[in-house]
Amino acid sequence: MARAQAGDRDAYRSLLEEIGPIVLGWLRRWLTDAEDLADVYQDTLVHLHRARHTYDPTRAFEPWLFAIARNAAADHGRRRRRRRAWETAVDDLPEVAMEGEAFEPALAEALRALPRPQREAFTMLKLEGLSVGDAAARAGVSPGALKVRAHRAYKALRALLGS
Amino acid sequence: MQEPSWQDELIDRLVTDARPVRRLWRPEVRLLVWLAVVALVAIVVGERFVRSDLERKLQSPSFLIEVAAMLVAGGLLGLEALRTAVPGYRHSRVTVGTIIATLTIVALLQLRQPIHWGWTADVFFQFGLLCLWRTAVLVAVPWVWLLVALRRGAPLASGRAAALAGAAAFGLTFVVMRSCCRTEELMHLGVFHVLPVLVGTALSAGLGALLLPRWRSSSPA
Repeated sequence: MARAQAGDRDAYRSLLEEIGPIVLGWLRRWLTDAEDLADVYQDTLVHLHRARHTYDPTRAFEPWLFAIARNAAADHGRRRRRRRAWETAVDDLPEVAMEGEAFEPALAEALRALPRPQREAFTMLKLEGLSVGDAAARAGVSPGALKVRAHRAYKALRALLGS
Repeated sequence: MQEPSWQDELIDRLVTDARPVRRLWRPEVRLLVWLAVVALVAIVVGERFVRSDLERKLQSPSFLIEVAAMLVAGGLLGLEALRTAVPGYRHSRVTVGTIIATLTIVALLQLRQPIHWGWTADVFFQFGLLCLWRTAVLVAVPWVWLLVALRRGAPLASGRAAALAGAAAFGLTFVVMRSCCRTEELMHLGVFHVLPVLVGTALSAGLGALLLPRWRSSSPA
């Protein structure tokens, strides 16, 4: 790490490659979800990178590293709890009135204006009639994340269509 | 999710950005620098407000104990704040115990002060607001200096680090103010000397929780 602090990129790469499996192994004890694990692992390495100037070579490396990993995991847990609380509030997805299969050109136009993930969520749930679980599986995200996307889509559509 | 390519990509990105960084000084060294700043402010600014009976007060054992205890507490609080800015540091029991003991001594010595019941509100606030103003002038530089020092590190518990910084800066300013203010009265000391330390600590914690986490989204170099 001391060499990495001095700008030795090879040493830094070796270090990151060496600690990667250790950090992952440690995080696996706390996180079971693969997506969460990847997120926290990435946060840990990015935080380590931004805090690398704080490492003191005269002190042990592990407490420094695991303090960063623990903090990244705790931050992630807090964010997740906040998100979950919000997801509960939109459990009952609002209905969007559709008339048969041919929907208004204005709606089609508004849908095109949405970001792709939101458009997909809306289309799967309201046009294709998929369940939240099926739509989430198809999008490769958690059901909660899909609900959030759908909720944002409804909100954006309401704003775009003025109702 | 654990495809080698995904992890390699992240490592590549970090390695590409791995410019040399200036290593943070040890907390003990940074504390000395900060104490020098506090001393400088106390000499330059505090000297203008110094109480006329300071020489006599310095012969009072209880005053000396109070000042010494608060100096120790302020210094150790500053040290703990700076340690909090380095991941992996644990608060030592001895340090925490010493801080609690010294603060208790200061609190007990404050409680021994006489109460003057003859204050009118006008006079009470006239003296008090002057002390508040002087406290604000004296604490500004040490407080901001310490918060910037924390920001230069990587405080994982931002609120706690900033609370310690606030307590340290306001605590040492309390000592300087005791050398400036002649009013030895419980209500005055409680409201205009001790309360600012508590409010400053809380304010610092709030500011820190808001501002310090930004180290995560910026480069340290």
